[in-house]
Amino acid sequence: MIKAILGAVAIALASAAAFIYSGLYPMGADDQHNKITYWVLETMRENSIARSAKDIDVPELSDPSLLLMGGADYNDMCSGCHLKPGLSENDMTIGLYPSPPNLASRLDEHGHEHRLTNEDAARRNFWIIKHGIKASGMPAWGPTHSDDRIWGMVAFLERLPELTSGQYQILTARSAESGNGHH
Amino acid sequence: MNTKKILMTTALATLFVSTLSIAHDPSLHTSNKEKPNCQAMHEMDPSMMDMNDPVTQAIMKQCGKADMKEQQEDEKTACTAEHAKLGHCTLEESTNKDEGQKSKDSEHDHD
Repeated sequence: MIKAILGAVAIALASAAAFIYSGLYPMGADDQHNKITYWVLETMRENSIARSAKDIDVPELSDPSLLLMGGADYNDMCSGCHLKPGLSENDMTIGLYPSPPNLASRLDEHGHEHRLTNEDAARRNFWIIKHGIKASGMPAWGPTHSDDRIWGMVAFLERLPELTSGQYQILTARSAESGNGHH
Repeated sequence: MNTKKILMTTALATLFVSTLSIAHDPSLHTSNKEKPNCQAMHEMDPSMMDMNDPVTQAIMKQCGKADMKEQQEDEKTACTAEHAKLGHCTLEESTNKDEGQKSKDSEHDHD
């Protein structure tokens, strides 16, 4: 019996290795994952982020200076992939896979629903901005940006879906800033 | 010899990390300067704006700063064009005046 189990495990491992080395799995970003692979990766990602972010303390995010600091950073670092008011897609959102969510649209319009409280959404956003997501095109900004600057982006993200193009332009312009909280 | 190597490696690693940390300093983004377009905000009816909303407060703050900057630039330009010709002031003098005002303001802040 034990021999049979060991034999089955050995065959399974050999098959997995053969599949990995065969080069049969399509790796092009223009060839989507099958439903099972997508479900496995998404479920693993969401549960991992929720687990890692659950103990993060969320600071007060309604300070206008935080919005200005986060707005300028969002425009420079994020809008190329996550868009801004008035834009529904660009070369990056079409070409990247998985496609980056449109953060300028309301949660129920950007492809999937998270059913998170505001605090949990803030924790999730902070964790993702700081640590990035493997093999998704989302970089970790933590090594080069302070937590304060990342919270600025989180604060801005909370209000981004309600902003008009005009409000977005004013909040993200850098020329009027005299530090915007950076010292 | 080994200590020298270790010191060298540590110094290089420190240099690399510090370069990374300044690479994303906000001042490095200023090449992408864009003036806030506050015209629409100025045309809005203030009674329609929620002054307790952080977005409104941030917009007011941003446009206030932009207006002040524009005013300062206008003052400098006015000095150069009209008075400098007559020898009443120079651009340098105007800059000094601004700096004097700034230091006065900062003194006031510390009171």
